Parts: sequence; structure tokens; C-alpha cells
Amino acid sequence: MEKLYQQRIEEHRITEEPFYLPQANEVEVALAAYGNQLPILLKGPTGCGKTRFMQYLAWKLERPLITVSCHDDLSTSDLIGRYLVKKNEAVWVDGPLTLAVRHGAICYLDEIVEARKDTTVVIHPLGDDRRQLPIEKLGEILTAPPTFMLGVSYNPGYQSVVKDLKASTRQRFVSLAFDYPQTALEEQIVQKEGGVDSELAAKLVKLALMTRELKDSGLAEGASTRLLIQAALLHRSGIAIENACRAGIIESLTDDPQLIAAIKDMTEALF
Amino acid sequence: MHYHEIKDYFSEQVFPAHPNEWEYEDVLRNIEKLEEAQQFTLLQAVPAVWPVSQSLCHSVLEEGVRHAGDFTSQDLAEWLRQVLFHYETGGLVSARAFMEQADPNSVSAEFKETGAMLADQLPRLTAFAKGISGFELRLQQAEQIYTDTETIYLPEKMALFSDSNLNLLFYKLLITLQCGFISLGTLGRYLFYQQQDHSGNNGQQQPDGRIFLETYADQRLALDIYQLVELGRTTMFLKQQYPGLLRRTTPLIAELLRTRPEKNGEKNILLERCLASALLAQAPAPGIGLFPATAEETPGAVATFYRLIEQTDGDYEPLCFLPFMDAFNLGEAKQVFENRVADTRKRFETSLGDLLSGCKTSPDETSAAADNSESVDSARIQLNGSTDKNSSDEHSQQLVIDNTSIQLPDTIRDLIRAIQNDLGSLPRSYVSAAFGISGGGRNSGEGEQESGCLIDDQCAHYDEWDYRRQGYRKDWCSLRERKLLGVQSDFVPLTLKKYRGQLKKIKRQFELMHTQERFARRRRSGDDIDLDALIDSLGDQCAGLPPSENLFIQLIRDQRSITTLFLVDMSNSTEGWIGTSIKEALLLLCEAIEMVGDDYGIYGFSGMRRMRSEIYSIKELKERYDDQVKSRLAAIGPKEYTRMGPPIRHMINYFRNIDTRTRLLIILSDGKPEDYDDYKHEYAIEDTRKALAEARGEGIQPYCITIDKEAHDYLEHLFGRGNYTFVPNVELLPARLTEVYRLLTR
Repeated sequence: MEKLYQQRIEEHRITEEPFYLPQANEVEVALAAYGNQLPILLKGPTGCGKTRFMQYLAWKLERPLITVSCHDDLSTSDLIGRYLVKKNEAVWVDGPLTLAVRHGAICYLDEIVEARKDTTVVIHPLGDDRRQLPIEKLGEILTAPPTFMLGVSYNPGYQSVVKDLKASTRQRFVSLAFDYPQTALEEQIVQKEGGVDSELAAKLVKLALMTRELKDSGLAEGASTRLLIQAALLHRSGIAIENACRAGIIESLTDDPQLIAAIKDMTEALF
Repeated sequence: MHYHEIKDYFSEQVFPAHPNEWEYEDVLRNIEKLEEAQQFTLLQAVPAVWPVSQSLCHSVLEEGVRHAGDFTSQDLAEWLRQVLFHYETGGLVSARAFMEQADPNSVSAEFKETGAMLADQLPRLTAFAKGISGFELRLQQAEQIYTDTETIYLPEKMALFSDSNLNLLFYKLLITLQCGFISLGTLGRYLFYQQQDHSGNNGQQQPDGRIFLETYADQRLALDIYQLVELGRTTMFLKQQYPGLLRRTTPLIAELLRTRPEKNGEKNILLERCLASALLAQAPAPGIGLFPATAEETPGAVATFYRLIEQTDGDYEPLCFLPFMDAFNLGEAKQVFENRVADTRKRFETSLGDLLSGCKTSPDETSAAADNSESVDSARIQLNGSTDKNSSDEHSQQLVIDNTSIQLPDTIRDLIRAIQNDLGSLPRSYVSAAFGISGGGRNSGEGEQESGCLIDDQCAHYDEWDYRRQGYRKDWCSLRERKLLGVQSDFVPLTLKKYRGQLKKIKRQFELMHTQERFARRRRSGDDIDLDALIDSLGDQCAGLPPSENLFIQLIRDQRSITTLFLVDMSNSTEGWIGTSIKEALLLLCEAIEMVGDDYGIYGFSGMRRMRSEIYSIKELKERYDDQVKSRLAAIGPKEYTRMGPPIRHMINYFRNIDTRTRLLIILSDGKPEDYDDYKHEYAIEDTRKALAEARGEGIQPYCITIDKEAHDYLEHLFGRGNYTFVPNVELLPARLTEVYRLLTR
């Protein structure tokens, strides 16, 4: 019965090597940060490989990875844990953050700016050299083992100024800037992940580069690597490439009919 | 309708203006003769044309009567759009000329079904061109198809094929071809004679000013051959890059080729055959060899081909490549090339000069000319490895003086890349000139005679950042606040009418922001029980902890705590279309923000020289949005120069007394900061950048909206990534401005 409530840490262990091609020296920096017990902040546009990087890092460090997708209803108890009633008895259930601290795992808060600022302050004592997590309700202060690591991510692109990251939060982290991979690398990624040949991968990447040119002309962001892979997968399942691009890339980028038409024109020119 | 009814209807349409009756009597009397439906159709044009020009309105009505029989109301709208286009590009004369010889075909329903109009497809095709070329290209209407490498000129309409999609596809092919010419360097440096760089830059060749085709006896033939060879090279390239496009357009090309008139004479037949293979991206006719693969090989290929044609019998007549596409416009391309080369040179020399002045440590080094020449001899820019933009090797370009290397900043490396692109290599003379600048050859402007502003109590004084000394010039600028005098005009009602559809949508969006409601959990009181909180509390209770009392969900309305100041560039460069659009955009924005109730103020700025910066108050922060404010909005007009630092610092001062949580400074400008004195280029950019950094330091979020023809590299440096948006098409500004505000504060 108890396991219904309590997540098991083993479920978060990554056993197979995730496919990840380093863009620059981010792996070394992150390993060095881990060695020095420093938390990391990943920033970059959507779909450029931040989450995949965390998976890769967790696999490389052989630590379980607990991911929390932040949203504005996320409360402190959602992170730390709460008492639940079971047969007139109160049972404490660890939240994901506590779970990670207890087991020296990696805790990754995805899109941290989406959470309310009063929620995210709980990571402050964890983020600096104290490395502590006070659990008020248990009257317990957990000190993180050396193997624990905190990672957060956010997308500094077209953000609302109201939702920026607080300086007191931001300045606790080693920051790794991510961008779309360089062309050759991105081709390799699309080829591998999307299971398509190198020629098609190159064309998809070319399309992505073209859409990224439109960033100042009405698109909030250009096509991400994730979208390319998505289109490649659709194509591999038998969807004609133009339809795959339309459903997998173009319509996911914008609702503006003129831009949709223009990107469709580009797709038609390429394929 | 009878004359009097027509007259009343007309007056209603042009209200609040009161044109003299006798000026319009003749036209309105003519309208009386039309059928009632035609009368209405024609008079409906008045509100669209009247605000643009009253004389034009007169002519439109006059000509409209003449065409009345041919038009349906849809045709009329199309006809009017074209008239207005001609008016806006070529003035009244052009519009009248168009109306006189209006091609009935161009507005007929038949054309609408099968033809494609450039104006209708402009946003789509512009985005397409940008994606294909990778840089900002303008598309403009012209009689012929060509490009000067910054603008692609295309015909107003395309009706070559029987289906509007095919006509649109043909537009796309034409754009892609022109983009190909630009990116393959057809209209770039290989167009010119290559000569040895006399300053001895490793024996590099550089283009001199003469186009290499000038040596041929028959220049027209040489030009045709050049274009033919380049066309072949480009289509081969496009076939590789955009196979989908070529596959789709090949039937169109084949169709066009089939309908070409038969040619006489062996020369013409040969040329025609080669044209066919060039257009279809096939290997040329036997005996000519292949189309060259690179621009370097082109002159050789042209020479071979020219000899071949010369040896062939028959007369030669100039080639028409495609409908609307004759020969390249080399003159304009050359002009653009030279302007660009001169501009990059100037920017490179100033930037490097400034860098060098910054590097010099001992004062002895800065003055004597002898020292300079010595330094020039020992200085060189070392360019190793790749100059590719994406290259990760940042140490590949260094400036080496006396064997000491200095890392070049990104701006200079970008400039070097641009120069190499245009000239092949960086001429030594550029570097020497930069040394000249750093040696004090440039007027620093410190001792300039200032005129204008009297220093009095009303002036605020601000420091200015001098990046060369990495310090502030104390109290360097004086800024005076002025009230903008409102004007009475029909600008406000007209604009509100013009954008009424859009405004409705914007207002609705903003209203949503105002009434943004959300459920707040864990409240002491509220509309419903928060089950999560209750369970938590029960759990706590069981565990012997004091249970929380915050067990309710409450529907709360978020209080927005936002203050925004808008700083509007009123320099004379905003004259014309840009100015009007800025005004319209601000008006829409005011209407929109009023829906949300945020605090906002609008200020214009301009001025001349450091002692006379001016801030014009258009709407004070606490001022109500009333007719006074509207009349001041209408009065926004171009003044003098753009010294951005002082007004930004002035706005920072304003913000100091405001304690809202989010403080936004939105700057609307049409380009670079620049003043009459030495407030230019890097100095101006660095000062503005510093002022923006000061703003951030005070907890203010600066955001800039730049209206310009092309995005410049300096924007990101100036405003910081993600802190600006760039609006290439000024007509989009009203929509973009409100959108930016909404996104920033949502």
C-alpha cells in the first residue's frame, strides 16, 4: 500500500545511454560543477536539448534523475512533501525534491520561471554552500549528500518581463547557455533521432535555419531541433515529407497565415 | 440619387472637412448620371482616398465616372488599391497616369481568378525571400525583374499562366533566382576587374572599379553571355539546394520556352539553345563546355563563349531571358556594391581606430605621425583559420602590433568578414587609415562651439559615457523638457476608423489581461474548499502537527503593478511614413492600455548637440488620456537628431519616484543613435548601451522597437539579446507595438 504513495528512487534511474552530442564544453563544465557540488542553470531556446542534456548527465554520473515540470500552481509541498492520511494514521510522503536530496539524486526543475517566485525560494538554501533542505513539517533539516545535484532550466527568449528569474535565484547557479546545435551536428542529431538519411536530415536542418531567419519577422522562435526530429519521425511512419513538415513543424511554429504560407513555400522549394 | 443627396452623402463621407462646393460640383453632377448602384460603389471610395489626398480624391471620382460601367464593386476596390499604390510611390502624376491608361485586364474578375498580384503576396514573399537568402531583402514593384543586391524588383502582377498558384510559383522562382544571383556573387566582386592590391597584401587580388565586361567589343552581347552563364550556374546551384522548387517550376519554364518566338540566324539559335539549358538547369549545348561552378571561373567561361558566338554566322539580337527579365542592371548593382564597400570601410576604420586609441598606453604613442607609420609597418591583422560566422575558433583573428596581439572584438571581426566577402581580402590601406584615426586625426568635438541652449534652472544635466576613456564625461549634456503643443486635426478619428477592426481585437485582448482571474489556493477564506490543502491539513493533524487554516480556494483578480514610459524618437529621419505609423501605433496603444489601466507616460525626444537635448511631454504619467493628449499625439513630428543617452537617463530619473513592481521603458526608434556632432557610430552606440545598462541597474526593463529597412548587427549589442524587436515593415508597427506591450506585461 505504501508504495502507492511513495515514488521509488530506482524508477528514476537511467539505464541506457541517452543519445547526446555535445555542442561545446557543456559536459565538462557540468561535471566540474558536480564535482564541486554546484547547482547548474540551463538556458536556451525551446527544443534545443536542455532536458536531453540532463538525462545524459544523469546517466554519465550514474545518478537517478527526478524531473519536475514547473507551473504556476506548484506549491512548496509539491516539491518537499506532505502528510497523507492512511487508516487514521499520518504518513509522510516525500516530494520529488526531498526524494532527490535523500538519495543523492539529480533534481531537475524544468522551466523554473513558470513556477511562482515564492515557491522557488525553497531551493535557495539548497543552491548555495549550505546545501540544506529544511522540512518544516518534519522538523528536519536534510543536508544533501555530495552526490546530490540541482539543475534548473529556463528559456530567456521571448519572455514576459514579469516572469524573469530573480537575481537571488539566478546567482546561485553555474550557467550553461544552450543554443541550436551547429549545422553539421544538428544534421547528425536529426538523422540519428529521427531515423532518416543524411540527405533528408540536411534538408530539414536547412528548413530550420530558414525559419530561424524569420525570428525578427514575426516568429517568436525558429524551428527547434525537436520539431525537426518530430517531422522526421512522421515521415518515417509514412507521411509524405511536405505534410510531415506542415504538421510537425510549420503549424507548431505560428498561426499567422502569411508566415505559414511562406514557410510552406520554403518547404516546397526544398523537397 | 439626385445631386443634393449625392452632395450630402459626400459631405458625410469627408466630415469633418468642409470642401468648397464649387470644387466638387462638376464631379458630383457627373456621378448623378450614373445608376444608383454605381453611384454608391464609387462614393464608397471617398473615405479611403480623401485622407490621403483631396486632389487625388477629385481625380478618382472623375476617372471613376469614366470607368463606372466596367467595374463591379470588387474591381473598384482593386483599382483603388492600385491607384493609391501609384500615388504613394510616384505621386499624383503617376496616379493620374495610371488612371488614364488603366488596363481593364488588370482589374477584371478574370485576372483576379488566375493572376497573382505582388502587393497581395508581399508579406508571404518577403518572408520567403528572407528564409531563402538568409538576410533582409526588400521586394519592390518595378517594370523589370532585377536586383541591386539589396532589393529585388518584381512586376506588379503576374498573369503568364492560367492558374493563380502557378503565377505565384513563378514569383517564387524569380525571387529564388535573384537570391541565387546575390548569394553566388554574380553581382559582387567578380563583376569587376581583379587587380593586384598595390599595398602588397600577400599578393591578394582586389576588385577595381571597372566592370570586366567593358573590354568586350560588343558589350551587350558580353552582358547577355555573362547573364546566360551566371543563370546556368545559378540554376545548377538551385537544383541542388531547392530541388522541390525546380521540379515544380520546370513545366512552367518548358511552357515559356515553347511559346518563345522562333529565332533566325545561327548566333541567335545557339544563344536560345543555351538559354533553354540554363533555365532548365541542364548541361549546355555541345561545344560550349559546362557552366562554371564558381564566380572565379565565370570571366573565363564568358570569354570562351563570346569567342564561340563571334565565330558563329548570322546577326545577333539581344536576348530576352524571361518575360519581364532582360539584362542585369549592373549599374545599380555596382552602385550598391560601392556604397556598401565604402560604408563598411568607414565603419571598419573608425572601429579599429577607436580600438587602437583604447589600446595605446603611453601618451607619446598617440601623436607623432612618424610613430604612426612605424606602427603601421609593424602592425598587421592576422587572419588565421576560418572566418566563418559559426566558427568556434575565436582566436583566429588577431591584431598584431609589434608582435603583441590584441583580440579583435566581434564587431570588427564581422566587419572584416563583410570586407572579405566583398573584396576577397582586407586591404592594407584600411588598416593604415585606422591608424591615422587613432593618432588623433579625427575631430573629437570637445572644444566645439556650442550654440542654442542657455544653461538655466530648467535644464537637467547628464553625464555621457565615453567608451574611449572608459569613463563618463561629467555633466556633458543638457536636457530641457518641453511641452508639445497639441494640434487640431482629423488624425485621431481617422486612425481610429482605419484600425477599427484591429482595435476591437486588441481591446478585447487587453481587456482579458485586465480581468485576469485565477484561483488562489490555500487561502484563509474563499469560494470553495481546497481539497489538497484539506488533505494536507488532515495529514498534519494526524501527525500531531498544528493543521493549517488555509483551506480555501479563492478566485482573485491579479493586481497589475506596471508602469511604462514610452520614449519616442522624433528625429528628422522619422519623417514621412514612419512618423505617421509611429503616431498611429501610439494611439492604438493608448486605447489598448486604457483598457488595462496600467500607468503609462509618453515622451518624445530629439535635439541637436550635447547642450540641447529635448524631451517633449506627450502624456505625463498621471495625466488622463483625454483630448489634450490626443491632440499632442497628433502633433508628434520630426524634429532634429537622435541623441539617445540623455533622454534615457532622464527617464531613469522619472522612474526613481515610482515604486511599482514592474517598470518598463519602451523606446521606439527608427535606427541608430546619432547627433550632429561626434555622437555617432560606436561612440553613440556605446553611450546608449551604457544608459540602458544604467536603467537595468535601477531595476527598469528597457525594451526597444526599431523600425528599419534591415536588422543591423549592432542591435543585439546595443539592446541585449531578447530586449528589442525589429520591425522591417512600418505598416506592421501598430499591430506589433500593442503585441509587444501585451507580451511583455502579460
